[in-house]
Amino acid sequence: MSNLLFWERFKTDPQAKAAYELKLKILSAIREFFIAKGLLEVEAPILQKALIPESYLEIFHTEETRKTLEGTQVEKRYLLTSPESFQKKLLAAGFGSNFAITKSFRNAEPVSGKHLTEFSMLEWYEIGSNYEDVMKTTEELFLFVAKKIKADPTKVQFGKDTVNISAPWKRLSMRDAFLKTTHIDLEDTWNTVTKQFSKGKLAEQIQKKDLPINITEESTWEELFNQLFLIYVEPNLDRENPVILYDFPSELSPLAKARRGIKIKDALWAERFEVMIAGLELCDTYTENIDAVKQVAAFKREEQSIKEKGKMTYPSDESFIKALAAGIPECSGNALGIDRLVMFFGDLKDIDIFDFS
Amino acid sequence: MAQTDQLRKNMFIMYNNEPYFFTEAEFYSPGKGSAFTRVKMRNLNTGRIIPFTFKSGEKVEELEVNFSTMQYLYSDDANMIFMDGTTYDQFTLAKSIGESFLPFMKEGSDYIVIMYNDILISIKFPPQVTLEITETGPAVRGNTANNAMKDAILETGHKILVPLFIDVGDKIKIDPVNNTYQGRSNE
Repeated sequence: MSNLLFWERFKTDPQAKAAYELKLKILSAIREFFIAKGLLEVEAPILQKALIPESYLEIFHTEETRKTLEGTQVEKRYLLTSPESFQKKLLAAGFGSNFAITKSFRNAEPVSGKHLTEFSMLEWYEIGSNYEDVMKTTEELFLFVAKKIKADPTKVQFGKDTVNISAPWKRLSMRDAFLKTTHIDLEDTWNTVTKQFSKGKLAEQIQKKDLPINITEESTWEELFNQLFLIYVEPNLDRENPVILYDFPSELSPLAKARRGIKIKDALWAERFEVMIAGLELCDTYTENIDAVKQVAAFKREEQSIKEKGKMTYPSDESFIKALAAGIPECSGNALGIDRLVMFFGDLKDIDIFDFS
Repeated sequence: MAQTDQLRKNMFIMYNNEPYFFTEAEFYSPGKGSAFTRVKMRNLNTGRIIPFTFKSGEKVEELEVNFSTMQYLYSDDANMIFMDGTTYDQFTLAKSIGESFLPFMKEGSDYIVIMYNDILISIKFPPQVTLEITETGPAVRGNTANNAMKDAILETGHKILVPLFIDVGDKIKIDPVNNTYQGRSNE
């Protein structure tokens, strides 16, 4: 990274300046798109008393000090990791479809060029929509942004790739993606008795096909799945067009609406999709869970996992459970990394350029 | 032992009793799943490159390698032959490991090689090499501004694109990884 202060860099490096100007333009375009679509822009609070527990994330914490007549009160606070729970609470309160552009914070993110600890997140929730509707909204959003920044949607240059983002994008189910690249049918790794994906069955398939995956006693189904994904699926995705990878294993997405299998009649898939463009993962969408009981179970699992991993614990957002129990409408939500969106449209090498700290 | 968070490109490791070299390494953290380092690693015994993933936090055994300077003698069908200039011992390196450097290597020249337990496992090739042009079309003087290029043959016999003003006998600087002309050398 450059030793120059960010504003000195803007003065001397026209490309750095142009990248930030592009980010600002894209932020405006996103707002214009959703407001025209009739969504309400909402503003999520950054300082939180509690968070949705997510065992794969590391969080930032701080203390809030307030002076009162009785003395000084000190309470723990946490920086939000995503505006999700705030937006869903608004849905419970009767606010309609909404979007938020929020700085979000995740600690211990890797230095990969694609991660920042403070990053710009777009989340939107569409009432009465399922994930297929959001696929279309996502396509429209990208094309709207391209138009606003005067990019030719049929050929967006990103690194060595020229990407045609014209709709409709390629849609590929996770099952088909695995079948095509690993010749493993993930449905064959489902245990119909325990109603879970079976690590043993997936390990057996990997060994039978002699794939280079390290399987140990401690390996979980999720780890084996992700390793196969990284080695076989992701590198073989089409890079000339965006790919909508949909229907994730329910195991990985317990909070997305479940879907039955093709061969297996259990609900082993989850209505979730991610958009992959030339190796860049841009967003993550669910047909959202609106069942408080399921959410409580997910909280418990994540809290347990946080403890097992020895990570810092924090209060779980119980008021989010209350909001679900009070009732929120059927909806779908998409979480999109704005810095990566700018990285794509600006053909940037990395998003570290947006670290102004 | 090295923690996998420190895994990086150009690292040597021992895995399942086989020595490997990372040709690529990339951190992958999906947010909603376990983090991994995705690598492409070359088996130094077979020369095969395989894609692999290491779990974040997983420990791997880093190879302790030594560097030494050796003279490159020649290549046969399968191997590249080097000689230690002080002991006159000869060492072989599978062509599959070193052949990407071959177009830029001169027989009789010294190169830095990487040794593990007295076995030659790889070459530490410089990011830039200087070689002489032995064949090319006539030089076009004064034509330094545009990007027009022409074919040229290096003293190693390898073909490369050079600007029009380059002449036979000129020494040029080359990026061996991308096989590109980098400038004229004044050596």
